[in-house]
Amino acid sequence: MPSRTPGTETSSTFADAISLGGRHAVVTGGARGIGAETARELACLGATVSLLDIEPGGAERTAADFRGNDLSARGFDCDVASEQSVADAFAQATEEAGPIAILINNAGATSFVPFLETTEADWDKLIAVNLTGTFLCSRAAAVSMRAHGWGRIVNISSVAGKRGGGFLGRTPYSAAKAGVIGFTKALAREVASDGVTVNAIAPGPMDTDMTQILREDADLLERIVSQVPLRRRGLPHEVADAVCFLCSGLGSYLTGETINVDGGIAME
Amino acid sequence: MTFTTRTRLDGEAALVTGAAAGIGRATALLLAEQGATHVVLVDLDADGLATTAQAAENHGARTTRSTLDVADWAAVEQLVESIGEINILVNAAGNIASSPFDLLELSEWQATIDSHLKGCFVTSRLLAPGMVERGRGRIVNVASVAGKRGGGFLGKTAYAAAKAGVDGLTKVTARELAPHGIRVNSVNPGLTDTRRLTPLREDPSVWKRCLAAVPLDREAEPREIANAIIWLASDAAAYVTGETMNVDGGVAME
Repeated sequence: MPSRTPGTETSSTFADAISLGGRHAVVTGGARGIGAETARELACLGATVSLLDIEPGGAERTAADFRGNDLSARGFDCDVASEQSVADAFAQATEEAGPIAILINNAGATSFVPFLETTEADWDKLIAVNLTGTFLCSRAAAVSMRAHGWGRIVNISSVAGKRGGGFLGRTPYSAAKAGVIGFTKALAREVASDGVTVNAIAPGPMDTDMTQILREDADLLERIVSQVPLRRRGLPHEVADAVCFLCSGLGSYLTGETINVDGGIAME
Repeated sequence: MTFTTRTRLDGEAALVTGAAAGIGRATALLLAEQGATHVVLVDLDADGLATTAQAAENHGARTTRSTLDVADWAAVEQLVESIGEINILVNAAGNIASSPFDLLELSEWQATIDSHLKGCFVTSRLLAPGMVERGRGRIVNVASVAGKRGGGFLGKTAYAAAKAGVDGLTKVTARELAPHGIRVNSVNPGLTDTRRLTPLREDPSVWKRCLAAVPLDREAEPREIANAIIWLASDAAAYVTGETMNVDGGVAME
């Protein structure tokens, strides 16, 4: 009998399959936007969530808000681009809430600087946060996932990594987010036999603080939305729902996959 | 509202082709379990349909059974006129074609294209007008990694061509119907534990070779494919359209 991915063989009902009862989930960039919404939805499915964010005190503020709604949550300051900061935050989260079973690499940064004006510092910063951060956090989490024979990693990429920008985010952002997709597939192959799945989500244009520029530029917003088949921007909970699908028993047979949550904009 | 509530399908009416067995049956049962009140079951296998219907009714759904050929426009049109509003369509019907290319007859080619690809076209084409009128609809087509990779396990040229066609049809209909509030997606299963696997399992060396290509090192249960179909058909995938999602244990990674 081949090894079974946990979560399938005992799930007699849909409700059982979507429960994350007691699993410890770490969400980076968890203080606001897609990260906060994702952490909230995972907690609603029964997970204990640890929010990580670079904004000092930001993650703990959001976690306190969750606890006020009877959800199990903690917040930790963390710069995902710093190996030491990641090591500290993951150690602390593990000490307080147990081994990490689910990791959502959501922390990210973008910029709107054209290629010919992009400096080495711009490039290094976006690759560090978007791509190296995903590597560092995955490595920190994969150890306990492998030890327990079960894990879910979901990386938040972007349609910019597939289409080559086009709306928001230019060369470094697209390169980093495409890198996340390559990383996702390579890691998926490596850890599949450990019961760990690794997938990515490629959101299209979203209504979050990172795309604040669209809230101020109606013409740009209209130009973008007119190219989206569903004729609107996505909402944070719509990315969170895809994460829940992948982390619950519902997504047990997906690995190495990148799901576009983009209103149809990327269709490839 | 949470993920749990958005995956509910309370009060929905759905039509599932290929509902007598495998992925189609598992999907029909999950639709009923998630609260769909009317599930229309289509398949050429009447006995299999009866079994699926009984199980769906045990979940509290009303069922309608139809043993028609999904590529038969007139028959599907007649069915659509008799069943009332349908807002969820799942196309899981199709025969497997296994002849090698140099022996493939036109008749087998045509039957394969008709059952997999034309069937998706006919059911979508005849149910979409009602969805457009109501401004709400979700279509999920079952394609295959064979269409993306070019066969490899099961199904050769005709099957791979038909299934690649299903993904193409999925994207075009997604674009055209999006302004009307209709989402169209497909799932691309890899090795899935249905009766189609029997010939592969009979030869241990063939089966071993198949599993060796699957990073997760096992075949899927039909239920795992159905879970993905239900997600795509639900409001928990409200911003997902034109997506041709691999549910394949990592086989296709493209």
